[in-house]
Amino acid sequence: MSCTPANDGDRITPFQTKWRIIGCLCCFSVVVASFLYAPWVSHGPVFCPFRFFFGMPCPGCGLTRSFCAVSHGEIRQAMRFHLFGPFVYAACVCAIPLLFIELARRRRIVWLRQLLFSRRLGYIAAWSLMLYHGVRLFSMLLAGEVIPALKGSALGQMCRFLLHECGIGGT
Amino acid sequence: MSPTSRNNIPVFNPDPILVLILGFVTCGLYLIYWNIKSAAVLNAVAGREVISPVVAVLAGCCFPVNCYFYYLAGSALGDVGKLINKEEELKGKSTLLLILGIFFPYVAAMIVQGHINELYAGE
Repeated sequence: MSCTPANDGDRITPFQTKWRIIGCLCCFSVVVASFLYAPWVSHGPVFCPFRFFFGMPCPGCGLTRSFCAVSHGEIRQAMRFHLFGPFVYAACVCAIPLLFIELARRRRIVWLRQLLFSRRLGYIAAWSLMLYHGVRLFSMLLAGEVIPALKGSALGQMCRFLLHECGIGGT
Repeated sequence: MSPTSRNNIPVFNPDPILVLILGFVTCGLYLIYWNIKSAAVLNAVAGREVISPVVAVLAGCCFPVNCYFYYLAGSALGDVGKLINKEEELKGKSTLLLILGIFFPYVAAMIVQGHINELYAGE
């Protein structure tokens, strides 16, 4: 934890207060919604527009299922859905009291700001996520799941329909 | 962070079409990299920390954070506008980018990249 003394630059403005309240409510909603949505998550609609149109997962696909699993204490299952799900969920949970403290003190928590604006942390998170998603896509390719996923997507079905209408290709 | 000067701005000028194509082809992987690099450029232009690198990474995988990212990028475009003499035109783009970020994030990325590229156009 930083021992930097607080100064007037750390005082939060009314505009920043508004964003902290929104952030706090968002994090709280995520925690509550992931607990309540858990029974429907495995057969619910596809929320990811990329997966819906192209059939392929985006880097965030699996986070909803992972959050729901974490909220019911199934950490191992959560990591199977998305490796970083439990960590992002933990960040959401931690953000609620931290934002509350900032709002109550009307001052920024210096170490939290340093952590959020740390370029090193940003790059580590980015490369980890890219590596994880790359491995996930490669394993899909090896398992032969790419073509069926593309065929089953909205784009695949649209192409099939157009080809059928133009009389190209089979049934 | 020091006040805005063109020399302090990191160079990141891929073609907007390339951003779109690479975003699709890499299944969103490239957009994580793009988020981080564009955030660095926008922070340097604004002369303050507008977009946190952590938010930029999370924007690549989390839909609500993505919308927030484009809202922040839209507000930072006002500073880009000051440098390219289009301040009035770029001032109120936050809402447009927020809506595009919800429905067509790749298009929002193309718009932001297009304006970022204008920073280097005179060089």
